[in-house]
Amino acid sequence: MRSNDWQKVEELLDAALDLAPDARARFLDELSATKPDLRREVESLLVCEEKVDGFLATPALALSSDFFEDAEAVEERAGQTVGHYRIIREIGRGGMGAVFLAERSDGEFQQEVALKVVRRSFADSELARRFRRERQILASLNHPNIARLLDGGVSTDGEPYFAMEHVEGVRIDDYCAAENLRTEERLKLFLAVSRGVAYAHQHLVVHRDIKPSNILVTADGTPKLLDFGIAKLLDDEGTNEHTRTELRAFTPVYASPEQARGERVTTASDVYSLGVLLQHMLGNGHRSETPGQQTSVANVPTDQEQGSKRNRHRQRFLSAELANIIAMARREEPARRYASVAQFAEDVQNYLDGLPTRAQKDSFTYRAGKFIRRNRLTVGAAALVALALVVGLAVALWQANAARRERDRAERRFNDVRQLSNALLSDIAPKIERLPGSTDARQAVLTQSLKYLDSLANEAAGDLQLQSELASAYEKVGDLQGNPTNPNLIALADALASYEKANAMRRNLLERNPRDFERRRMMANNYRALGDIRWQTNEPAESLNNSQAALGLYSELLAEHPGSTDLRLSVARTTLDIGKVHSTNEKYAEAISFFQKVVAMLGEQLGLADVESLLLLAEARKQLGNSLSWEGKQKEAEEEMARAVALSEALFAANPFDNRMLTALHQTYMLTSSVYEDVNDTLSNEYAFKALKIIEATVAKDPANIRARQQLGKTYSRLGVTLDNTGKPDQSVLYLEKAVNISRELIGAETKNRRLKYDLATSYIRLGDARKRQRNFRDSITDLERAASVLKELTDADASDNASLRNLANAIESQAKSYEGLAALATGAEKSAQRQMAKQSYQRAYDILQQLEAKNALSKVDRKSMEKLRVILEKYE
Amino acid sequence: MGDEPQHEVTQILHEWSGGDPNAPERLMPLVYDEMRRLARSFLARERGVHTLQPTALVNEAYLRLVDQTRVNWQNRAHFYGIAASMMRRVLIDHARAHAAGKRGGGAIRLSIDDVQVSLEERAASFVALDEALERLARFDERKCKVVEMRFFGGLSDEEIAEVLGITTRTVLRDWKKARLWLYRELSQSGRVDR
Repeated sequence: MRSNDWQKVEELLDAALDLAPDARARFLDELSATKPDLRREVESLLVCEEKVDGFLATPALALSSDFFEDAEAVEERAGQTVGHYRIIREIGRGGMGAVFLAERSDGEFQQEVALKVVRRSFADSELARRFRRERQILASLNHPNIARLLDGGVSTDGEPYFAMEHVEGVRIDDYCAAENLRTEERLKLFLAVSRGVAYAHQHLVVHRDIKPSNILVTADGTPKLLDFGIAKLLDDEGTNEHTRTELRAFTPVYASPEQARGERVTTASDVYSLGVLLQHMLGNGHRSETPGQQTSVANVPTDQEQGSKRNRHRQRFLSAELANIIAMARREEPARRYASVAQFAEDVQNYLDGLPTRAQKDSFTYRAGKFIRRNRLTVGAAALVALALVVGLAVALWQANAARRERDRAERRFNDVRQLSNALLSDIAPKIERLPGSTDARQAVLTQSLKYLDSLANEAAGDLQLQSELASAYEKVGDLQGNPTNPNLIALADALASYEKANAMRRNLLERNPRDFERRRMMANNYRALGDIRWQTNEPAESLNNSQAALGLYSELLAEHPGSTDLRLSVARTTLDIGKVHSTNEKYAEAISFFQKVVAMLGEQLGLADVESLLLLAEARKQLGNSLSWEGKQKEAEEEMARAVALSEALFAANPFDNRMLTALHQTYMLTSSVYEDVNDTLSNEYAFKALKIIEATVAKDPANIRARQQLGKTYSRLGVTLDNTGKPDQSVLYLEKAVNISRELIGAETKNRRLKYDLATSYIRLGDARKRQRNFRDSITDLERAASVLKELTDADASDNASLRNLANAIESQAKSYEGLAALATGAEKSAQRQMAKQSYQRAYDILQQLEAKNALSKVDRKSMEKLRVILEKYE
Repeated sequence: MGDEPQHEVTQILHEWSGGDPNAPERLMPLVYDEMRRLARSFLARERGVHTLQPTALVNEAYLRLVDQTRVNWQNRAHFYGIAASMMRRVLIDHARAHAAGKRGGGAIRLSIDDVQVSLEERAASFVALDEALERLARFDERKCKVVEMRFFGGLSDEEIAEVLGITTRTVLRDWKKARLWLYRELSQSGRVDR
């Protein structure tokens, strides 16, 4: 046909198409009269009109995918080299590409690997960089249930590849079916898989594509997860966010609803996929009901059940409890699923052990309602303000959740964490931190916040900005949990965990850029806080390591920026920390040198308005005084204490509503009382009562403040000493019993806190001493026995804890004296038996001091005690 | 992929706008390679997924091959036209590999849209469609372009209108008439081709 002929046909066709059917027939009839050829042409086209509806309606690409697949399958790749590997043969083919058995081509050593070659061509330099970065993280996953990633990169042809440990095994579902495993065996197999996933989650790696074909069971029955973290790596690639969301790949049945919708993928998504896996494993373990092909988002089943008739049949016999466990893992909303894989696994284990499971009905509103009701009852009026802020935060997060769908994923993640940490750092925390009576509100903020942070942390691998923000948020949470320099909940183990999470992220950040000022500074801050917390939990060796790491960094930074007041303050503070550790470790001479450094540094250039520096100076002076006193330099000690008292009182007078000033003043009075002990007992007793007055007022204001209660206990204990020393043993015993009660109560709430236990032991020793003066020797021995047993526990757990070891010697020596008291009251065989007990105890005390001597950890006071003991033991001979 | 192809493609688009008649010829291999790579990688991930939006490929190629800070709408239109055309060529080249055995073996059925038929038959119908389009282009190149852009490139009617410099209404009418013609052509192909 020529163009001008077609033009005529087209004109007539246009005209006819606009006509109704009967008018069209007339039109054609008229045409046949004049131009029969054209009529035939036009009519033959018009008759196609009713058939042409679906013709070419589907885009070509959607109809031709298999053209490509088969074309690729034809390609022979054996013998080809990818990276350092030579392909031996193909062993599998999946959505992402092909998997080959390969060996190292550089011949350095014989190693067969599973080489996954990803079929795509987005390999740009950014991708190559990300691969290098991510593979370090992935390669660090070392767990018996995870196939180890050995290598990865982008080949010269631009194909991303991964070399993984080659696992010879069968798919987990085929294994279950072939071995005809019983339910318990399937559950145990599943638990092993969970351990691998939980381990990876602890290392901030989410699998994202857990399904039977990614889990192989080896000949010895060990399940191994393949492809850990790789899905995320590939999903994150590319620059066009829009395209990425549209063309996402996933395995629909196993993908969580949020994953299917292209939303944020977190550990909760793995929980979901594990839930589907468990259901499938408990079904019949046949792969038939696992759809091999991928379907569109709209078809993705969410909470509904999957499976063949046989599968359903079998499931009918599953206990309701297992069904509940699976349902909880597969909840539509991530927040309502198990909070972690570990929790999920725990419930499966509980089921196996016949224990009650966690899987039970709950909902956001239910929990929120309960949360508010519970808190309204216990929180004071001031804290209600704080609570309103918490609810505000929850609403903000809720709204962020709703807006989430519209926004770009990467941006969204940042917004989430920013919203949270900003609210936490700049809004809520400062408002309630210094607010007396706010303990419960703070606890509530923390619980909410941590939940959110943990879910974000799973996204942070490879995302440096996010890691840095998360580290700050974790540290803030850690401060609220237990950083001793701030008011806190003394959940020290939790604080340590939060700071350790931040520490891992900060070390990773610093490694990438070791000279970065801010990263070094943040790293130092982190180490300093860790050292501080560990001093608080009485882990001197670790504490010292952390503080020294901090001091090293701070000093380096100060040398580079000698004018920085902040850095100078940080160096001073960390130096003080190290002094305190030495002091706790009874290394007073070293402690004194560190404290003197601090005083010298701060004394140089202080303005009176500089509250932070003054607070630090007061602390350094009283610590210096205390150590001087232990070293026998009493006069210098008293001078330092006098300066510390004057400074602390002035600070408190100037800032009466700042809890830190109250705390500092209390501690100054306590230490002063201690320094005057045995030297001027009347003065010592007076200071103890000053301390009591302050701490009683603090506790009255905020009865839930654990830290204040701890200090109250210590104050009672101190009064026990000073009252005893001033000749009032009956009053002394009363206070010491109060002290013991508080300690035991606090330990009940925090069983791992070494410092609380140390305090308890100290109170028991003092109680034993006081009862001895009441001539109640039997009870005295019992109390001292209790002290010894607590201290033994502490020294067994941490050999570097010299303070506890020394107190153990004191407790046993004191016990010896009580046995002597009993001996004095007895006669005959009884008398010699008690004397024998006394002698044995003296010997034990002496032996312990010898241990300290061997560790070069004897103070002057200890040496005197040792000398006395030697004389006593000689008398017994 | 570095900056070089992007620089080159952008440069050729400028020369095209400047009236260089050889520009399309020089552009084709670059775009062809990119479309081929994109199609392969997308299809590798999207096996059997029928929600695939081909327009994503053209957009992706555009983002990857063209420096958007240095082009105008006309350059963009040229690129989209070429990209759709190259997409067609990529698919047909792959179809040809599978359709070889089916050539000349009687009438070719209209099995393009029918995923039930065998790979070979579908591939053969793609090849037949391509040949029909070639014939159509001989007397109405614009309709061929419309089909190319819509069916192979996945462009919207509005995008096609912009690329071809015609109204959306004209695009719709062209699309309809082209389909009528192609349908008739393919249903008779056994006869006509002889």
